[in-house]
Amino acid sequence: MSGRPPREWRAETGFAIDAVYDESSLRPDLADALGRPGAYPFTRHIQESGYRERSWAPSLYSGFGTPADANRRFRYLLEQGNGRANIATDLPTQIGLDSDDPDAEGEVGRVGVAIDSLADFEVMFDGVPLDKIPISFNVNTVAPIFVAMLVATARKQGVDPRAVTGTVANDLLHEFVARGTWRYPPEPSLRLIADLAEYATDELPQFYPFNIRSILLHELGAHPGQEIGITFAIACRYIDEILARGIPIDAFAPKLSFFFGIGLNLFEEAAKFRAARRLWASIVSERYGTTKPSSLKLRITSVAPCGSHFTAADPELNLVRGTLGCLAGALGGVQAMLGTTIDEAFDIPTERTQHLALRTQQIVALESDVCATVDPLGGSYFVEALTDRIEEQARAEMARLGGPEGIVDAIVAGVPQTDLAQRAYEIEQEKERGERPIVGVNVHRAAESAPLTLHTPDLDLHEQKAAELAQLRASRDAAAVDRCVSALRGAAESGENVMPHLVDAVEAYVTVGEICSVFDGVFGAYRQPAVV
Amino acid sequence: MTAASTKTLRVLLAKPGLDGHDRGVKVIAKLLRDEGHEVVYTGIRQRPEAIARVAVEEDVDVVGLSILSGAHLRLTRMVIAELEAADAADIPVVVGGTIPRVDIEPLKELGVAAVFGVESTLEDLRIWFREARA
Repeated sequence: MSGRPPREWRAETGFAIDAVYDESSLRPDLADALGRPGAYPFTRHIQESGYRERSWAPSLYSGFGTPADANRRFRYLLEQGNGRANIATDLPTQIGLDSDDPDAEGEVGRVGVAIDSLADFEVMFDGVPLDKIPISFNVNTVAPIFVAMLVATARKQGVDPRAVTGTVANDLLHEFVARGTWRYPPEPSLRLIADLAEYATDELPQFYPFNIRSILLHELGAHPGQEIGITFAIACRYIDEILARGIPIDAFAPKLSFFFGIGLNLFEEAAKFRAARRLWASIVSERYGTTKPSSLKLRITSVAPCGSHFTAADPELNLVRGTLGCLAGALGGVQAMLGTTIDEAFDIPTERTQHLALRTQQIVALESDVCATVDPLGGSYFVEALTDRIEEQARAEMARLGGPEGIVDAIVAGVPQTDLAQRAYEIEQEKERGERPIVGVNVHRAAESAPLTLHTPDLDLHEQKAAELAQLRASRDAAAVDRCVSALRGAAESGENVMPHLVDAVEAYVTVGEICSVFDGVFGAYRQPAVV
Repeated sequence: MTAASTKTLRVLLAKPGLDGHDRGVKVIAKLLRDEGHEVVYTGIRQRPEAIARVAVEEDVDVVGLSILSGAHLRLTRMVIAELEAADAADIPVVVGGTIPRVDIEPLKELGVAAVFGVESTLEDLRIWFREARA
């Protein structure tokens, strides 16, 4: 390490880290700011005895190719101890294009499974009992359609939809900031989000109709304060939309879940989750006037760690990064963890690399003492100081964007996008100057690393899926399709909740693309300004 | 430094296909601006014909495609075909994103001037664009 200038230790959140923290770093009201684990403000954990009560759920994200391919992969993962069927869909599906759409060519089944109609759900969930295995969908534009198909599939399995468990992202505002699977403008997008939430509140008591994803911001380069601040502004905007329908806060707040990123800074990331829990409990109690504990608990899904921390160089080293991310999530008290696989920089994962990511979490949970006691870092001078600073930064970020009232305008104007692009550029420059050491990339480089065996995509799926769609369209009851499409259009136009009509439509095998085209006619298309 | 080597390039940065991951392309846009180039960025989810049209309308010197969906071979082939159809086959096309090593040669065979895959550095890009304007 000789010849390098002394390292400047800064938190990602921006402030300098002291060489020593001691009792003078602790706030005088620490006991109140922490509370008991499982009690307000939930800083330490949402469960009284942490992971003794229930460990986090490994929740690897998988899906590629046809519904049968995806079914095989997540049945394999479930057998290996994965806690959920967490389904990745391809880009055409996420944007609401059928597999035979000209714009879908080359992308069918590529980064996830291709879903066109209920027929695909029937195959995808063959042998997966929907009242026992939690299902997780990372979809937004098509979230209401997917939930309608989940309800219809449960009925076909003879399962009461009220027993279906799992979650759906249903978080379009983040898509306008990052990842970009929007289709309609923000206002009708908010309406569809609330339609789904309202329906789930009434009809799907075991299902979480939100998985609000600060992870997308993390992957763009957001620091913990930005991650929490932007995301809580968005989350409150959703709550406001649902409250405006006359639904009481305690009817649905217990069904909100969040999906955070994790970086490699063990202590700052653990502190991020502690700060987020405390801030969320205080926002929900102050802004919405509830004291019901289940409404105030921040339920956290996370990914250990985010893919942006994994390298193409010497990719086996990513296993170690995966362990650090997993530890950060466990020390932070998250409820579920996806795992990034060592081939992240190259392609979607293979069965082997998912096996390694899943086993990483199982080793951390079972072979270390991280689950032995709740919030093992509680009271640490350093971690408590980090928790306070991150909470302050998150509040400031939320206010800077105009809070829940201003967040849509800020996103449409590109404010968070511009901030995060600037930060991403600074991060790359810091890596280039060696100020952010990345082993194998800008320090301790290997001459050559062992190549990985990568996922082999089937590039001709477009044709297979198009043929299946042609057959589906020829064999379904055309009169029922017309009837369902008209009823759906009527509901979209009148403002009636579209969900019951979506369930009817998917049961008549109206396709994802056909449903989205109906909405296009009512809601119009969004054109995103390109900001750098 | 000669006068020719300080010429400003007009660079179109575009994201074809359905992929919305734009962290990388925005880093490149800022890098090229810091290098003194002019950058036009299309935003995400652009059709190949739209990219070729903007390239012609904006009279750019280089087209840079950023693709992280795995559909890089097909999308690049389509953009190059659209540039040819627009009589703009002389505009060099460079491609960046999650491009595995095995796809670098096939992209070059399509006529791509340079590929910046997952192992490329910012300096690789600076050098290529400095040489391109010399």
